[in-house]
Amino acid sequence: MWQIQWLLGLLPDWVWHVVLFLGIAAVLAGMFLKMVPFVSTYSLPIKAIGAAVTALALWMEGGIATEAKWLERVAELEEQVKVAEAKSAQVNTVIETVYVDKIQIVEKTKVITRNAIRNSANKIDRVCKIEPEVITILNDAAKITANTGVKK
Amino acid sequence: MKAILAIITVSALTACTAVTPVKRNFPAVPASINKPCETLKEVEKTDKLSEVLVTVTDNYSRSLECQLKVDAWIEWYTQQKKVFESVK
Repeated sequence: MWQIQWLLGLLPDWVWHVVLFLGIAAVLAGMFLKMVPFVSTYSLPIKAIGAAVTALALWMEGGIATEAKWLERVAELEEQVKVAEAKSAQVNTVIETVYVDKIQIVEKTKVITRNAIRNSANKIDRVCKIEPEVITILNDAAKITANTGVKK
Repeated sequence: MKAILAIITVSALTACTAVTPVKRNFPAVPASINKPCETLKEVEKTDKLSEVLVTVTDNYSRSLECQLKVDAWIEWYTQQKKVFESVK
């Protein structure tokens, strides 16, 4: 069905306005010719053809109107997508800026803490000596391992 | 004649289906958050608490960075979903 509509749709819109006008004119002419002697025999076929042409033209007019509506909707959606893409890029910029700022704070805090440890290293190390097991336990905690070390 | 009229009428009543040809691109993720979290550092063999503390501090930083990354991803998803749903 759509192939027929596509083929007919290749014609410019004004053609269908003219065809509609001609169809209605043919129906009216058929009605008028009925009253004229000698020609009245042609009134029925003219009326029938006029009705068929009117129906076809109305159908195409409907198609033209629907297509115009859809094109309008597509344009509206394209505009919305454009706005959304701009907003999306803006959101990315904000998120990245906030993230980078916070990372810099973490880095600064790390440097400050390391300096504090370095400055107090003598005092800290004098008071406490670390047993080798502590290192193993701590390193195990930093790894993703299936061995939980729990004895049954 | 009636048959032709019937065909025309049925054709005219045929419903139209349409798919709007509007292409949408998946939003890009900021490059800085699109990286895996760093693995935690291990403490080298030592008996000095200060050296252990330095590694622990580094690991705290890595953990915080990873937390910030996850938070950024959650924020990114929430915001992008809102933007996506604004197109109707």
